[in-house]
Amino acid sequence: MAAPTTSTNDLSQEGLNASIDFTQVNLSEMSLAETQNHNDIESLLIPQYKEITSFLDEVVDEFEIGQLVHLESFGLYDAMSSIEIMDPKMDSGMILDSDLNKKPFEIKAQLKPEQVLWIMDRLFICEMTWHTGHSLSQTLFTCMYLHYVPELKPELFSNITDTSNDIADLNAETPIEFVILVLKAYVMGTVKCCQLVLDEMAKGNVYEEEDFATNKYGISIYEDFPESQAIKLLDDAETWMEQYGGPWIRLHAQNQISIAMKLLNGSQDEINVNNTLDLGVEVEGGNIPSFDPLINRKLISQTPPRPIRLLSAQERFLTYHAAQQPTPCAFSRSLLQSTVYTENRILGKISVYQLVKDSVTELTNPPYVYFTAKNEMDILTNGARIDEAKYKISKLIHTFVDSTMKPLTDYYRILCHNRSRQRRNMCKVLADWDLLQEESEHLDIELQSIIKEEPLKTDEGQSYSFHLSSWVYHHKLILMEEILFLGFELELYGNHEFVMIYWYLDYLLGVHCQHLERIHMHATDDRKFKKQKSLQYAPSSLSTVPLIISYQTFVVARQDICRGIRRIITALQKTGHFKPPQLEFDNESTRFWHRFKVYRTLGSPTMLTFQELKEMTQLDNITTLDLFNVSLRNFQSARTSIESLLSMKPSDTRMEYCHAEFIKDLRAMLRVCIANIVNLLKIIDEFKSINEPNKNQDNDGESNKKGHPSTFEDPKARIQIIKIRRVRFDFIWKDIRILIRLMTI
Amino acid sequence: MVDTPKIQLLRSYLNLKAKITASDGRVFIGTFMCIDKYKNIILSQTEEFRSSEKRFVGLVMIPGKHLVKAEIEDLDLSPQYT
Repeated sequence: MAAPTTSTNDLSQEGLNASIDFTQVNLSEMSLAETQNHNDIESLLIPQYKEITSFLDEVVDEFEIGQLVHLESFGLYDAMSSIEIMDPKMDSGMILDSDLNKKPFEIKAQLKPEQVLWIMDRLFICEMTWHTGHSLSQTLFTCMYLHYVPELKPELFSNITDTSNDIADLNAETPIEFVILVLKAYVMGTVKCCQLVLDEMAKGNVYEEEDFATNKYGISIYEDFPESQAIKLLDDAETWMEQYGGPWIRLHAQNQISIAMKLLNGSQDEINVNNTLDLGVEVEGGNIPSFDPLINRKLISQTPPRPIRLLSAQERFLTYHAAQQPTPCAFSRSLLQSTVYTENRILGKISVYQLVKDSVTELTNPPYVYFTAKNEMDILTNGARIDEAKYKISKLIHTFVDSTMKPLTDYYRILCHNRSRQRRNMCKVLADWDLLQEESEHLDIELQSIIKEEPLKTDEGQSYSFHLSSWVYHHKLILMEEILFLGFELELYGNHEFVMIYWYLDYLLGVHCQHLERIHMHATDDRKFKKQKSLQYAPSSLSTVPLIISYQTFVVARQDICRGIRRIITALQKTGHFKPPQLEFDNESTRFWHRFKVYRTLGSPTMLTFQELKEMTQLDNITTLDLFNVSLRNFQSARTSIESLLSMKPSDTRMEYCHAEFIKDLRAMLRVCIANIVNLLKIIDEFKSINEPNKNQDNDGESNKKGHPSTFEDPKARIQIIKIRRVRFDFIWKDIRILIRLMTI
Repeated sequence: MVDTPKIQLLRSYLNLKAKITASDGRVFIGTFMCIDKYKNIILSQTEEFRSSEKRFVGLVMIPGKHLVKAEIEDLDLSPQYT
């Protein structure tokens, strides 16, 4: 048995040598460029084959079921990655029935205006589908016109009109300009938009291949064709449409063209798309193929095509406009980042210094001199006296702004990523914010000594304002909360972990609330204005107060909701409706450690321990009914808080530019509260009826059925928990609002 | 697993160039890697030929039911290699 194997090895070795020879000969042939001889030699070098078809039939009969004959180095795993021939999904070389009946693409086809409109609509759908993360090869590149745009010239049609009278007649109906001008302009416009989008994506603001496919498969998208030329084409098409286009098509096709134009011009206006779809329903004539969904086969790709569903006509508009939808497309997220922060400028004109200044001033209302010292220094440079104190302050503030720049801009960038990426990156930058907080505390202490700040006297002793680090801490807490909340949205937690997570959130929100209270106290400290006039304070501190109050109310509302939910779950655990799963390899303290691992290294707030969790969630001495009642009160107070937030003026909450979204978020929270209140009232009612069994003893059977713990309202209670997970506490608008306001300055 | 002389012979064909004709007329030439009881054959570094068209398709599996003709490199008949 060993002998044949050895000889096989030898032979295959020789085969290998032969193939090397083959390449050498081939190369020498190439260099001589004698193609005629080349063919002869190639035929000589093709190995001789012997047919083994019938031998195979015989030999596989001897196989046992499941037996394989394979190379030692080739395992099942490798086998799995092979492409199956004659499988329509995998085999791109297979000829399908639909292929056989398909007519070749005819660029000279005379399209009716309706058909042109249909192609434009369809191309737009493709474009939007591409934006949702599908590959170009399955979307835009399926349009055959896209590959032949430059060939759309008047000359193309001139021959036809000259030779055939029939077509000339047809031509009177459908002017070729629809194709050579309107369609060409639209396709070119789309291609250029595609180019611009790819350029934007190349900046790396969002993670490529995660939300977006940039592979061009080596197909030219007319990179050399200047944008100005494309705009000119569109202009021409529009002019032509205005002059000659039929009345109905003028209205509609023109609209599409103007969309493409606006996109190309980089217009930031909201583009008003009238839905022209109903009028453009003319499906392309069966004999004029303009889209080839299987173009993918002709392109070189490492990955087989994925199942794809082109967006429906309605959806495409949705995706296009709705930047605030749960999943805004990658392009708008990337563009938002570029708009917000490029080349050290916010929105292209405001420095980060200004942003930090505005943001800090808005929240903690630091002494006026903090951020004005620098300007005065600039004015006084030519020989005038320089105030020693101001010089120092300016230096310290600059240090602060320099170190804030990266964490702050990172934070805005993170908000432009997809939700999973947001959470991941937030965990990463949390350490930066912690470091920044520590640094700014030192700066605060130095600043205090320069401006000779006098501490506020409180019950717990002296309290300094710590303007800068307070601001940093506020942001850090938002990050910490957001990381936990995102976990719900991303469905990272098991149901049995909810108590733990809500408990921790409760703690964080509590810390946040105290912190805001502290800021409030210092911001309204009137002594600033009376004493130390020499250092010029801001004229009024009152502007920040409504903002702090709105933050506080918001935090308290969230805290109440978290508490309420936690208590419901605990109560349900007590009644036996909610049973934590018995997991063999699960250890609660290990899980706790992992869930809050990122918080472990932070300087503040103090990390809670598993021990504390156990002690604080140990509610054996509280009755289930009490738990339900307390939970009810939590939701009621959350409801009051949210309602008061809803009634606040947009200018007080600083939500002028995104008030609608803010209200939407609040309403979602309000719905959770109300739904829970209603259900809790029901539960409490039923629960009471169980606990007073004496009254109902007469009609025993019925009351038991209704009120027995195992039957009462369990599914509903569960629904509430699920509902809460769905609520997104979305902070993004709150932060972008600052930027939008800056934009209008 | 059974190991008959025929299976041994088949095993000796592994790693040789194979030329498989599929039911739709395409010819695949690649290195013979693996075969199972249902004549499903895996070729690596495969080139696909459809009349004069040729392209590289890499690692492919040709299902037995689509196998029309199988050929293997005949070392005895290829004297120029030895």
